Amino acid sequence: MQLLTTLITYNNRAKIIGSILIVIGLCFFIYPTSLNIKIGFASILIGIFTMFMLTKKTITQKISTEQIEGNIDTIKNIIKTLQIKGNAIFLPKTDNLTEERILIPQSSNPVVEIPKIQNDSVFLKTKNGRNLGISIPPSGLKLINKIEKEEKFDTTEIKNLEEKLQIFVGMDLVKSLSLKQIKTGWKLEIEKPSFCPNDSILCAQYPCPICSAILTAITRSTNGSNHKLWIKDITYDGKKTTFHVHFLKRKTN
Amino acid sequence: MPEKITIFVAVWTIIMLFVSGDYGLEIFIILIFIGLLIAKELTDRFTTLQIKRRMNIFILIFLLFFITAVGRKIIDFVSMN
Repeated sequence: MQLLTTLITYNNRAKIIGSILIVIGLCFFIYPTSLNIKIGFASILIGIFTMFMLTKKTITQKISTEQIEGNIDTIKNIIKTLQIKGNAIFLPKTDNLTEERILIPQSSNPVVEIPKIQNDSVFLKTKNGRNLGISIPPSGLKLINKIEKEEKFDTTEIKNLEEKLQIFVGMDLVKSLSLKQIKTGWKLEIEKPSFCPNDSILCAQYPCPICSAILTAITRSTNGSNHKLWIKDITYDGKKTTFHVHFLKRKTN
Repeated sequence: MPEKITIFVAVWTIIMLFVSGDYGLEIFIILIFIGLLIAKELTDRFTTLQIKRRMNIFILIFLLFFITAVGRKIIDFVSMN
């Protein structure tokens, strides 16, 4: 029974249903009255549509969530052990950085000292040995690189970004998403990502892959103007997670 | 999203089966074509390139049928006069 369930995967199920509908449709053509032809045509169309449109889902959501949770827990432990208090700053690509990084400053003070960061920099210290925080790749970097093959963000103005970000809704990664400019910065509202730790402290310091991919897309949209995106705070109303973000315009590295 | 599109097209097709009533297959197919265009328009910004391409294949097939049907009607009309 278990083997049968395994064999009838999502992809196979769509093919089986599609094939059955096509066969039923063909049966209606045996007695070709006007109504039978229409029913037969409808059945074949729905069958073909089901087979073509419903494509495979590789692994179950539960397994993928568990994989993400493992990585998030590791980062959470590092942050806790190093007593890092600051919120994440998304750093754009520069001459020194070939890909975006997240800087998590040691202190929660909004006026942060951003050191020169290279691709291999992780634990950041001043010359006199004082901890400045850590610099790690965003958890959603691979995800956003994959999505960028379909939708380009780096050539998009931030004002027009909200529409492009709807690709995340289309991919069933989030339920809804909005990006609005407010007085002091930008407000990003995300409803129910596939995986959500629901931990506002962790989300502000090291967002989960989906939120991180969206924030990286926002960083990219600034179009190489060397703007850094700082997560000011996060609120969670039980349904939506709201990120209040600011661009730090000061050039430092 | 592909699931929602498939359900929409299936439901639309069944409704149009009743709506088209005694009219011929041509009208029925054109009504389905309209449904496909609506589905495409409403879901365009939410879908991936792969899904868009697949939708386009269906739309193209129905468009060809639509052009043929309209062409035939025009020829009939012209030959009647």
